[in-house]
Amino acid sequence: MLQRARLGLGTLVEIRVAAPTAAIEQAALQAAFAAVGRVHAAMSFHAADSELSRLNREAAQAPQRVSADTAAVLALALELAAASDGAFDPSVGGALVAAGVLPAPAGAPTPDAAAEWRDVVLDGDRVHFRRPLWLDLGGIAKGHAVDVALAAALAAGAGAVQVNAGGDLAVAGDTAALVQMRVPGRGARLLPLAELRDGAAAGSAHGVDETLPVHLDRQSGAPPTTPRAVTVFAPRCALADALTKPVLCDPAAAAPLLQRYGASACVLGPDARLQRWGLAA
Amino acid sequence: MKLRWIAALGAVPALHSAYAAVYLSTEQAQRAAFPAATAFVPAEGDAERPALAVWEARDATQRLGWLLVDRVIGRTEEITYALALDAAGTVLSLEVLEYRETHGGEIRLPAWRKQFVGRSAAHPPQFGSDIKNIVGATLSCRHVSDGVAALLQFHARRLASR
Repeated sequence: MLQRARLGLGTLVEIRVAAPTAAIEQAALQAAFAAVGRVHAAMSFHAADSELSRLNREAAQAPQRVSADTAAVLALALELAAASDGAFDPSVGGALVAAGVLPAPAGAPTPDAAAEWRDVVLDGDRVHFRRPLWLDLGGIAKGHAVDVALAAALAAGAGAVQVNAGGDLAVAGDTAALVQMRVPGRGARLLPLAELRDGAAAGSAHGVDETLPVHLDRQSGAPPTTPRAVTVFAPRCALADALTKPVLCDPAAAAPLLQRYGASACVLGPDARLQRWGLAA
Repeated sequence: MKLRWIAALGAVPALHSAYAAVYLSTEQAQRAAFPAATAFVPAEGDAERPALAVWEARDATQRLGWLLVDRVIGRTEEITYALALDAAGTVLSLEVLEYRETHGGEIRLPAWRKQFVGRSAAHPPQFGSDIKNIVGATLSCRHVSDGVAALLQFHARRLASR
């Protein structure tokens, strides 16, 4: 077994692989970290030379060609936006910049205040914005990076893989992961939730710790009012990552969405009680 | 996807724990960064960074570069990392050696861990029972970025002329 951690996707990326030989383990590990690097380079909101930044600068003027990987993530993002009626919305970049969470992209036209996910048109490998908007894949690309890292390690010959990018994780092969939720509040309290095999999990929280990422409820345009911590289990990490947002806003309303994608959510509410939504698994 | 639930629904028990992981030893980091090196010669560090350790990587004839191991401390975590520089001061690699949450300082192993080992004996996880995947962990990479910037300055100021 080989495990390494590097910085990437704005967090600590931890990868474990097991393979018949040390050489295969080394190759699988390198392939997995390289895959994470490619996703980061293509889909970073912060990097001016990413595909995403090019879209934000130019896709409102003319259709832009993107890599198959970026097109696949965007397709899933738009599908989830439609399925969640906008509770998950990748056009949230403008609002997050306005909220001071993300830096304004240089040279990009000011987003139209009325722009939303329906203004993002994906046609094969071409992307066009009907109105100026700032796309942010921060709510799904980290999960996708975990998925491609896992796939890269398996393709390189690993028999078991675990990838964990700051709480977005996936496991495959002959291994199981004990997934724990951080209980919000003072000190380090961990709640063991489940043993996971051949699947993914992602976590998010709101209103419980000022260091946690910011989410905006697309219905109200403001952060969700109820403090919650959620962990979503799904077949793929991109799904788990994206589904944390609708669950964070309204777990009951997101339950059908979880069912539809074969996902399950553990929700720790302000009453400090744990609830489960979606697939019973 | 296969899930086996562990947590009971309802009131949450208070389990005090923190995550810590060691990924690479200093020796492993040295060999990984400079596989051709025949010697790692300890070098003088920086009085302003007490946690910093510096080695010069050499083969039989020349200096291959430097390995700098340093620790940064965030609000709730501590990261030990190794920065490898070639002889000209260009970054060869950056590896995380150790990650440790610092809530309360002490790392305690929760009692349920033993329980878990027993219950999973029928399907022993290949990586062993000490796997901890913590959803919701927060980590600021800024501390490490700042640390790397400081180490590059230290190289320019002190190591480049040695």
